[in-house]
Amino acid sequence: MKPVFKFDPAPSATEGAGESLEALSVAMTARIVGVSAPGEERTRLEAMGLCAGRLVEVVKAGDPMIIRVLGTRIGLAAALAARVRITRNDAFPSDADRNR
Amino acid sequence: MHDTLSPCHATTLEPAAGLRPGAARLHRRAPRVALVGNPNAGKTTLFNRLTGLRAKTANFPGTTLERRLGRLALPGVVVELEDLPGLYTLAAGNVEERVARDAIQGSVSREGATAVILVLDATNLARNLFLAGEVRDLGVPVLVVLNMIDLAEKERLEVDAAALSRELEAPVVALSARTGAGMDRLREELEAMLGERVAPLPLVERACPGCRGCESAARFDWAEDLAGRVSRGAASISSERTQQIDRVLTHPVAGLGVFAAAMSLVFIAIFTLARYPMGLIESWTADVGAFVAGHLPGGDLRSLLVDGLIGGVGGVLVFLPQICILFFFISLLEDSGYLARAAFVMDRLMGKVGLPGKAFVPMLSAHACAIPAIMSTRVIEDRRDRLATILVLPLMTCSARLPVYALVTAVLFADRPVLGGLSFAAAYALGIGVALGTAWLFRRTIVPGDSLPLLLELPTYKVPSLRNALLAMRDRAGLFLTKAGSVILLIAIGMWVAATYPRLGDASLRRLASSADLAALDTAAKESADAARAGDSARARAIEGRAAALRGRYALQHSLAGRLGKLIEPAFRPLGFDWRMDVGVLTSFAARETFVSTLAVVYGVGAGDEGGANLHQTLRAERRSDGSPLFGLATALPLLVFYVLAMQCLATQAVTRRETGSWKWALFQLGYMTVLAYSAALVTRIVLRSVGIA
Repeated sequence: MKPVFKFDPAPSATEGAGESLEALSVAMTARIVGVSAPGEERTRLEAMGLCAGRLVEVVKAGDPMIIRVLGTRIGLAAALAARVRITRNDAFPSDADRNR
Repeated sequence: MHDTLSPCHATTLEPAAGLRPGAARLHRRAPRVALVGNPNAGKTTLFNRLTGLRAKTANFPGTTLERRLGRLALPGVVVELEDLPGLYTLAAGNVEERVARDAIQGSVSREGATAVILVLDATNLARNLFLAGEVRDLGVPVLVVLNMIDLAEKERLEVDAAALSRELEAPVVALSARTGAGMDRLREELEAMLGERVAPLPLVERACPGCRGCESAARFDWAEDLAGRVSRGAASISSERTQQIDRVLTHPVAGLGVFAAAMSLVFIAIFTLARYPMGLIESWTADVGAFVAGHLPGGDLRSLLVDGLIGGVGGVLVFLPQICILFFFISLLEDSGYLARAAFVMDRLMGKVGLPGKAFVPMLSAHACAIPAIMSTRVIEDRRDRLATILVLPLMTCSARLPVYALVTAVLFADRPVLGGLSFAAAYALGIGVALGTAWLFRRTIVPGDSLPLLLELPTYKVPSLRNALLAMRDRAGLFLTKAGSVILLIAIGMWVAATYPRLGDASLRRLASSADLAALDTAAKESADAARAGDSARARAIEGRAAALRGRYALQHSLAGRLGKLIEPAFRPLGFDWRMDVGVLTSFAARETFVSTLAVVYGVGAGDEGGANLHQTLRAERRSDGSPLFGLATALPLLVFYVLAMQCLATQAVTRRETGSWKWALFQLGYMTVLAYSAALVTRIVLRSVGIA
């Protein structure tokens, strides 16, 4: 189903910059800064919690990969992971670690 | 409060004007309560727990999405409960979300829900609360169910239901749908809520200051923050265990191995377990047929009842065991959490031909029967992925093709079992190979695009619910009987008419039959009368049986089906088929397994158990007018190829129509498979002939 209106704001500075989720290896955590995907794909990702502000942890690398976000494991195609912009978070113990 | 945390999320969720929920809407009819929740939150288990066997399954109007309705009798009120599709969000704009929002808020065509039961997984609150926030903002009275509280307790995960209730401004009931603990409280709370005519929450309408994307982010912040405030601890034991199991089950090599083993087990179970009930159904059908035949005078009515109606009902029922067993296992696999892993490990492989990982389950099931396979494509979420899968499923070798394969290989390779086995295996491989190739082609033409890239929750492993599995099985069986069964029955009767009328009179028999056969019929009549006079009734019956088989052959030739066979003979001549095989092909149009029995009739060996070996000999001995054997390699192999690839099952067509929502795709399936089967058979014959094989 296509969204009725198309309004994709120009990618902000944070969305374009940084690494993608795909580049992380196992046990790394990161914070999502944005999703640079077209409408439908973005909606799918956001519905699963792959959305700015969330913490992710890579459970299994590869294609497809397994990540943990919002307390659940998600199986994710590398093509989609490449759309998710992150900043690495491995300097401090993450919130996700504390919650687990 | 959450107003401050999510300043701008409500704008996309305004209810349609004039459809505002309110107390005035209550009690106009039985209050309707919608069940909303994430996939894997235990919504179906709760629904089954509340409605038991009184549930019925239909589709949401204009969609192929499943809608389950059930009645729940509370002491003071009867509630109509509606199970909505499992959702992560209401805002994504998919069919699922639209249907769910319409069910809750009402739309032009339907009234909204009186109240909503929102099912949250207590062990997974942060994720589940996102949807809770959206539902809350719809302004419909909400009863929150904190499900899987037993698992949470086992993990020493504490959830403060009272605090959650304050935050969500809705009653919260902690329960376990699996064990049934807390269900009484749910019923009480629901009754109280419906009785009180709870004033709905004020609609949340806030302006969004020019941002998109922030809405979800802000709501996730709120959900995660709230989950942190109302719960202590984490579901670490099951999470740890799941992680360990996943190390094996999602491993690129070991995972595929486990998957192959699991699917083989399911496949073998479908085949072996279904054999007994299928045998029973067949023998019951035969018994009922014999009983009716014994109590009715001969004639068209008897033939209609026995061959048309009872045979048709038997033909419908015989599919049931495989359907039940398949859905029983799928439900167990899904409930346990394994199905998501199977999709995960198969995704890349299936992706090469443009199908999603989840398409593997239907493709495997199709080797038993395409009907349950097509029904099981509902596990595939994307409509186009589903369509591509459905279109190629009937190319798999289903059990109805086996009698035809057996016939062809027995005639060709009677004394060379290895070659017979090889051609069987080749037929299976051909079906699979062509299905994958066709899927690849379709993804580049009529259903363009790749399969949806994998994105799915891998839920925590759980012991699957037997109760859910049994109910799912009952559901599918019911759907099949009412939706496909009626069509199959009609077709069976239609085919009976075509094979019966016009009736063969004596005059027509004299015109059609060869003089040798006529003489044989006359002799048989005389001999059986003699035998009867001599008191040898067994001999008389045997002679009459042979005469009836000979007569039956001309009766079929004289019938509509026989005439059509003659009519299409030129079309099939390039494949090497004679008109009698064409009659077999025509009658297989409804169901391919009838090919063998039709051939038995049309070659005059008589149907029935002893017909098998007889038919092989007859076919092997049959000569063309030029004296060459009719059933040589260059005829039999094209016939085999044709049967591997042709769409000869109207029951499958009926199910394709139902699952795709239109006859268009059913007809397309018929069309492309017929063209494919014909061309492949033709190529086979040309190649064989060009290397000098007759």
